[in-house]
Amino acid sequence: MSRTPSSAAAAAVVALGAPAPAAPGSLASRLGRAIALVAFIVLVVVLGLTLAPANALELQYAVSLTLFAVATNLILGFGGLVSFGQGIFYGVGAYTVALGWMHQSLDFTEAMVLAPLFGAVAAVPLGMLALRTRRLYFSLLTLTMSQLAFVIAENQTNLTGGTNGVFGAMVPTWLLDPHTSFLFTAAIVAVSIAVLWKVVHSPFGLVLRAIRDNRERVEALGVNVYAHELAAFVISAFFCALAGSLFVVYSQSSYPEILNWTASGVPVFMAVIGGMYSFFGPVVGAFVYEFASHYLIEYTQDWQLVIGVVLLAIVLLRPDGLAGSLGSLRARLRRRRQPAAARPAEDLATPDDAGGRP
Amino acid sequence: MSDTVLSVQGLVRDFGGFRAVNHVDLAVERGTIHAVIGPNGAGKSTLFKLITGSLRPTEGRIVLDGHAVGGRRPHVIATRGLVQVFQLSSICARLTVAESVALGIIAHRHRTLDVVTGYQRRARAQAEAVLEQVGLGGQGSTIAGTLSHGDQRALEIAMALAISPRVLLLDEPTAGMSPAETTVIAELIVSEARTRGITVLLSEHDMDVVFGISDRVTVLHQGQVITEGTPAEVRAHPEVMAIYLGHAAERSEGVA
Repeated sequence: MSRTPSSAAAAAVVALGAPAPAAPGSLASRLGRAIALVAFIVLVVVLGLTLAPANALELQYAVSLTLFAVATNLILGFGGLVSFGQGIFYGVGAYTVALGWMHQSLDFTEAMVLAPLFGAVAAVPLGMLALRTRRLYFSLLTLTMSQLAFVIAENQTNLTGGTNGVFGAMVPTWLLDPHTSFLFTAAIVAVSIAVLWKVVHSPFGLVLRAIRDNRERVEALGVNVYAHELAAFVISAFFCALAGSLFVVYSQSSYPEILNWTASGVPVFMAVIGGMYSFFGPVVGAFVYEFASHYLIEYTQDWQLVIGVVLLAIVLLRPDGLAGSLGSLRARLRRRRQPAAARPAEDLATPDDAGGRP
Repeated sequence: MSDTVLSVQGLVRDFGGFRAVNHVDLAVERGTIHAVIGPNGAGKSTLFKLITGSLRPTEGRIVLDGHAVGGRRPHVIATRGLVQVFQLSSICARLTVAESVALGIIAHRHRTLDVVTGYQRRARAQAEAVLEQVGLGGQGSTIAGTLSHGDQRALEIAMALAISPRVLLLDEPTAGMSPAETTVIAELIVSEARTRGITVLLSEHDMDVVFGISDRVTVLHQGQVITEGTPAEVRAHPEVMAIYLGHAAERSEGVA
């Protein structure tokens, strides 16, 4: 079957997703991870360039979703903020390109540059409002905001084209070739994920993880927690909007469904499936989710029910997702090889402290 | 000449009709270890929360190094040099020990919004030195949440020290500790205060610790200051004796 090579990519990405171990890790394990990463990128690029156009396009879509998932996970896994509103920024990105083309006859390149900026700008007031609340209330407020965005996109027919959305020749002809558009998408996603990697591993990223664990403690060290959460929210929105603009490259359209609250849930599912405490976990999750839903839909109309059950099982049994399971499996194997003595605290990124404070 | 680093004047805090802190005055001299003691419900924790900014005062002034800080947000007060170590262990459970201290260093150097440089690596290296001081040397890669209770308290103190505070506020630093751990923490507090000139304001249940390490002791009872003085003066104060011995007498009656 023609889709098999793509699922090979999904399998490879699982192997990649082991969490960065708690300890900086030996040179060997870092080297191993670097090799896995390079091998994975090579595999995806080769697949993208050799697959039949229709399949290459599906792979391109999955690649663009990995950016959506990793960007969402910046605030979810590393910031501890469960947002059901990141779809808003995805939508802002897509609609910036589509509406810019329709109303302003904006050049595609200009629109692609503006899309993430508009996403970031939109995130400032929304974040300022939503971050005044915590936990469940934050989730509910972001969910409400995404429904509002959906309603606006659907009802402001003159501006947005209403329910039908915007279709047309908004993507330049050189990007219409599936292999070219795959490479274009993969390059933007790779650079963006590299930037997000840098953010997570910067002083700011450390502060963000600390806020997730214990905001009072961080505040007591003189850090304005609210401002830092807002900064993370805006950075996340920037890249969610960029992912949204890549949706237009994929579909050559923009329509209200991408703003529905269920669309905002998708990157959260992906991050949870893959492992939200691991940087590459959401990449794993994005591939698994995308291809699983693709296969499932052939067998059952209730594929979302299946995904829901899987999600429930993950949250209850392995809150650190596939990446975490893999990490602790590796740690267990290593332990069997080197018994008793000096055992690094390795599989600690596992479930028991997922609930936060002891 | 006296040099007051932290002064509290006429501080009041009401919870509904209940006055938890009732016109409290407190003057903490620079470089001293100052203890606040009192029975449960005396208002110690409320007083500390007012000082750190997690609660707003109903009335009164709090002056830290010449700046009025009463009612300011906790992170603002922290940047003015007052750092708190919480009563219940309060660490970032998923960070490593070295990362926890690096967090303090990053906060102190105002690098928290830095997404460009590799400063956290340098901060982590600096953290090792602080960890050495508090007896956590070589534990940098351990996940903070897996440390023993005593080591978590030591880590908290290390995190607080990392931001080079002028005033260190310790709410029951030895709560829930074994006697051996208590001794270690008490010695740590004294050595930090003496060698670095950090002012320490602490509340404590353990009277041996208080009288052993404090320069000054303030006694709170039902939200009010009963007396203030050296440990010897306080120990001999009739009202203090009445409060504490009275409690002891009640307790032994209850047992009998």
